[in-house]
Amino acid sequence: MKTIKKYWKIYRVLLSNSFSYIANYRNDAWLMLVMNTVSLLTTFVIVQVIFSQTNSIGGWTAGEVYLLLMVWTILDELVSVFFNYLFFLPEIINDGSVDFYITKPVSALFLISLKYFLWRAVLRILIDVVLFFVVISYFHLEFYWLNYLIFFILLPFSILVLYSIFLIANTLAFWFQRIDNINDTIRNYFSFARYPLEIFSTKTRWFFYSFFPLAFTSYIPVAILLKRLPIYWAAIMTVFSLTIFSLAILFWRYALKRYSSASS
Amino acid sequence: MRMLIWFIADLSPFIIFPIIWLSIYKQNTSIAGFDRTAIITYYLITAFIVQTCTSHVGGIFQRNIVQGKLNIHLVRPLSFISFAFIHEFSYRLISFFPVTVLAIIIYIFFPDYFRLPSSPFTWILFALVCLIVLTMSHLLEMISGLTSFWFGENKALDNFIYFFYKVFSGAFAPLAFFPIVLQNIANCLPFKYLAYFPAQIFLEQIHGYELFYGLTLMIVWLLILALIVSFLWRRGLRQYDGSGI
Repeated sequence: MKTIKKYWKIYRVLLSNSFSYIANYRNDAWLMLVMNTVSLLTTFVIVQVIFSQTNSIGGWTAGEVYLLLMVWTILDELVSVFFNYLFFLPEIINDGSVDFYITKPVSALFLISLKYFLWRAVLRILIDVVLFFVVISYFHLEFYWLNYLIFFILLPFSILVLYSIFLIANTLAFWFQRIDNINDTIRNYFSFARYPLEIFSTKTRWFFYSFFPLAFTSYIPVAILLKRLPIYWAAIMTVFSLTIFSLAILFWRYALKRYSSASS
Repeated sequence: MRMLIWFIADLSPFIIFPIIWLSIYKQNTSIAGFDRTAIITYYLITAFIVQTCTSHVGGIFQRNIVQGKLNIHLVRPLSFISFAFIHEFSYRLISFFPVTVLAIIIYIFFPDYFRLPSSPFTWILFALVCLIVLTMSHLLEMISGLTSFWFGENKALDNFIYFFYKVFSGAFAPLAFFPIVLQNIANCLPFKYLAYFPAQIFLEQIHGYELFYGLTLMIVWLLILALIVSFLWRRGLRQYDGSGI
């Protein structure tokens, strides 16, 4: 309990520092909001073009695909908001700044993961959430309350999976140094989860449920919400997310032993 | 390692979109004149064009202008514009090899999914058009980068150009699949000449007057973009104060 209080106190300071930082760059925050809206609009146009040629993809209707797209967008934004500094791990390994974190009397991974809260993206998430409900309303999507409840319970586990993947990928920088662009690559490939996995072959889908687990991001929660997957998949997803999170932590600890502190 | 990661990252849309369209082809044999082989070839060719003919030089212009590093280039015998072009061209030349090897591998293992042009004239024309695409893409990037003379940060413009490129170049879906309204907008912009038009040439879907008309418009756009760059460069240098160093 004492430890939790201590970490919460530190996190509040980190939140406050992040807010001070963003207050200095207000114009940038508005600019990024416009850019993200434009990016979302692009994806909407592409999905619209696809549905101008067909009524469904992989058996999913336009409304269901838009729903999947919105859930993926919200999850992606949430990971960026909470764990933004994690994406700078290759950079701080390269310039030796990891020293600064491993010499503190708190978990280095806690500091590196949560150091920077991306306040500017909060408004974006609110817009995305509004769009999520607009999609439900516009396409008249109806859900059973239990599936709805499970869907919302699963979202933190989706974030945990995404965090673990990004942690494992960025930790590789202890070996490969200048791989900061790995985050863009992972995001590009994990964005496949914006589309129904039914469009892939059975073998590829198996791959997405195991070694490249994008099924555990937006697909499973939305598929449960739409009753396309049985509810027991929620238990599988919970176990999987906790397992991959534990593996990511173990990998981080193992990699940290390799750190040679380039700058000091 | 970085280059390999970028290469893998840039390939992602050319993996997902053919898969989406192939799932749709289970219901249709042809969409807007594209059969299964044509659509896969289309994405392979646009992937090739994006990897080898798409410039990313805007950021270099922006950084050099904002950080005052342009000063060094202004006193060198090689102009900054030529330097940037050679820099980008060499990078694209390196990208040419892995993407060509990948295309050959796909052709060997999946010959049914890759349609090669039947006429040697098409090959020559496609190679020439690719060079024009690289130049056009480079000029567009330069326009975005040169606005840093006035605005410093060019992220917004860069993203707007990227948005138009993404939607109207045909890199994500053949423009023939688009609703008529969007096709009409695409016809008024230079972006379709950066992916859709070269892919149509490779697929031999465009002939005679249409081909001549397309090539003429492409050259006209090239000249317009070159004039804009020349104007922005001359005006920008007057504005430039070398601060940041």
